[in-house]
Amino acid sequence: MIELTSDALSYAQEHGAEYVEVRGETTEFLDVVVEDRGVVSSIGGLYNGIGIRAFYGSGRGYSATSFITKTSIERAVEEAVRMAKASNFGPKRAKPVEGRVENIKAPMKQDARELETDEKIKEVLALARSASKALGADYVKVHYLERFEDRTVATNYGLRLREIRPSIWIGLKAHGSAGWELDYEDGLVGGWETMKTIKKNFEEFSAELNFQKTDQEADELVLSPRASAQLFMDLILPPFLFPSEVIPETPPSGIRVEDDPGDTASYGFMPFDDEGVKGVQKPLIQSGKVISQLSTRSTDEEGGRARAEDFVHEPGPANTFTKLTADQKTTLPKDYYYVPYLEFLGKREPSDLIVAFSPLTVVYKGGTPIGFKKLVFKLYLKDLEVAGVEGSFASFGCLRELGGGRIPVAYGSETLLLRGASLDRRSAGISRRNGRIRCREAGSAGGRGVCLIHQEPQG
Amino acid sequence: MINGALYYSSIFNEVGVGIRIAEDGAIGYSFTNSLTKKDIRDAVERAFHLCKSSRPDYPQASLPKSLGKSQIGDSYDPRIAKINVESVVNLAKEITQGIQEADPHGELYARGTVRSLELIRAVDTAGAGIVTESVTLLEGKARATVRSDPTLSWTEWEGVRVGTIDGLVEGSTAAGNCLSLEKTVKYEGDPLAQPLLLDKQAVASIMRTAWRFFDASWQGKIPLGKEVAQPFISVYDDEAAVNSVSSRGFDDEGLKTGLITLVENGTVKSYLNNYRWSRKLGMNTSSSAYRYGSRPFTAHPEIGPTNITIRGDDQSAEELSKAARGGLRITDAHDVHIIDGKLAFQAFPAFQLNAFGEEAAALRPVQVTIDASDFFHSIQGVERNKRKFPFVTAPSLLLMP
Repeated sequence: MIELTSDALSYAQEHGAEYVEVRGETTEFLDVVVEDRGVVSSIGGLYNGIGIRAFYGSGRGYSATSFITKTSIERAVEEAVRMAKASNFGPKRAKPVEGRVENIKAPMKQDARELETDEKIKEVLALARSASKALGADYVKVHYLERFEDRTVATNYGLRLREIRPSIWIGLKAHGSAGWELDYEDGLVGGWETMKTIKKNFEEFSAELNFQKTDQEADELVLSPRASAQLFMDLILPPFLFPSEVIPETPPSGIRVEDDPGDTASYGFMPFDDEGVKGVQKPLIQSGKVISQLSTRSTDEEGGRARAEDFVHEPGPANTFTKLTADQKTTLPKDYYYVPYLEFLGKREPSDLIVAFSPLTVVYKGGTPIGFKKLVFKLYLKDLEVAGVEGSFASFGCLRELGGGRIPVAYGSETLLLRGASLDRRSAGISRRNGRIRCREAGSAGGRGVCLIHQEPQG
Repeated sequence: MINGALYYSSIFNEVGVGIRIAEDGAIGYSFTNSLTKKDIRDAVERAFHLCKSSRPDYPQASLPKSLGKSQIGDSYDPRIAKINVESVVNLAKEITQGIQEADPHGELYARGTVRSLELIRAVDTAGAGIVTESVTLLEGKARATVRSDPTLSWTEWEGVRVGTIDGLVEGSTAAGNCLSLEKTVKYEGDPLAQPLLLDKQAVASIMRTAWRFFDASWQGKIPLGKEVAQPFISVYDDEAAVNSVSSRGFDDEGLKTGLITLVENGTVKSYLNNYRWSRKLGMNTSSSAYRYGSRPFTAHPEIGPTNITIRGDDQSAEELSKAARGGLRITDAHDVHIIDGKLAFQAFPAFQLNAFGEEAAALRPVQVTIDASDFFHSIQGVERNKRKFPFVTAPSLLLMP
């Protein structure tokens, strides 16, 4: 692969490219999907290829091929250079990343590839069965994705980077007769030993759930680290964290957000990005201000978060390991709704209203869980007050559709107490008083079950 | 391209083989992108090993019977295959130019993209027969965004053509629509008592998610035999329709496609399924196997729609607008989800219609949440003319309270 990378670099220069980046990748996969009754699919394979990005003046072109022959690589190079020349009409000219050599291997205790496949499938099936039991689910599906990635980034300005990255990701889908659905995921960089941590994390997560229905209500809203991360990282923060066509207004105050690519065990571990920029920690939001953004060198000179799913995609801006903590600290109240995860998040609206659905909200009374209920809550960002529960920080690995495909990232957060939400169990009404939670039962709207909710703050 | 500068580009050439083996009720799958005899043999061995390592499925897994040595479907258009990168850049420029013509004061953040996709599928089922199919597609997309306090408005128009694309028109339509949304107002009436007119693009956006109500593998599917719509409504997946963007002669398990009746005279008749789910539910296969992802040969066949369409009482656009007077016209739907038995989407652009069925005011985004079965039940009018989108051929629909 390294030889082919060098060939592609010199061939692109011959064709007139001023600056050339070549990404070579070889990835071994094991992708197994099981239900609690059996194996749905098991896919194993090896995939390799080369992506070439050529710059000419202000133009750039990207071309990739998985057909590893001299002719095919030459064709890909020619197309990238032609695209760069054809698009040489913009205002910006790319600056090369300074040359350096790095060889990085992510730590791994036990290479998962050395284990027998049936051993691994047995473990995944056992996880599906124990999840089915713990959740009392009607249906459980577990997706196991093992990857061993060997990737290189090289430029004609002396950059020679190589990274070996083994990882395991688990996705779990389940549903129960009470009408709930669960979409859980976790991932870590490392070998087979990471399965132990992933299983332990799931056990801790499922221990927080409660499957006894209750009509009891509570006054406060508490989000688990997972639900907090889903709410903030997937919905509220992206317009502030990523360079965008439209600059948003002020980010939520009272939170501190940073992105740390250096944690070698995290699923978001990234020693260098796909443009060859070294992965360094970035403070993103502090005291209600955006300090820096997750950018690539196409969006600003610094870049540092250009990531792509694989060589097929041109890299785009993405998170690595993004952590959220609250400035204000608190302890858990006695009576509260506890949201372990969110199933659905409404889009961020111009009027700063967020709608989220929590199908298995645990109701706590006097500090004890007494049952669950479905909850729709709406957050007006301008009214939002956040406090973090000391010592509750937790993280998980996940796959997210970001700039250049489906990217492995990690999210971490404290357990958060939210004030400024209104709750509505049947998603038809809005009730809010003094920034505290109020619930009300909403009737069937208009006789046909159609509910239209204005995406505006009331008053 | 955004504001005339290149934003993203990618050209990709690939080859690959996926091998699926069924043995003793279990399935193993492997793939390789190297076509040497040794690598293919390795992939076969890997698939066989995975099969042996897997537990049997229920019912026991097997593969569908081969179609035999036939060649099905050939929508290969050599004109598109010959389009070079310079032409693709020029088409994107043309779209952006259309936006700029409609927006001489530069109020918009404009984006124009053109995607040229040449997809050649080859499926070899049960090792006995080979079927091949070639698909070519050229897709143009114009997106325009306007920032006007307090509303961020954007609109996207997809122009999908097999063979040609009129970039200027797509660009100026997106820009014109976006500019018309600059002064949106809050909807003050009681929308639940009003008719909703869903434009073709909104129907396409909704049905790209709502097809799951007929997905055999999904727990939230509508039961067979249930009356979900008025007797004049039918829903089909016309998998082999001539000149439709996603049509195909065979599915991703190599089974011959055709017209699948999902709802007939208002009643659910069938589901989309693949071979595995047809056996699980004891149904005939609908040939709806679909391999998802950017490299289909690396994926197991799941279930997907090809060309969903709703048929009804063939009204004209004018008749529908007239019937919708006083209600809302919804041009597009975003963030479409099925949640807790309900279909939820954000209606935008949306317009208040006056008593003559004309657009009286552009509205800020409105969240719509409809019970799944009520969505189909409330369809009271279906437009005669339809527009082809990927996976959906969409008419405009009139929903009444």
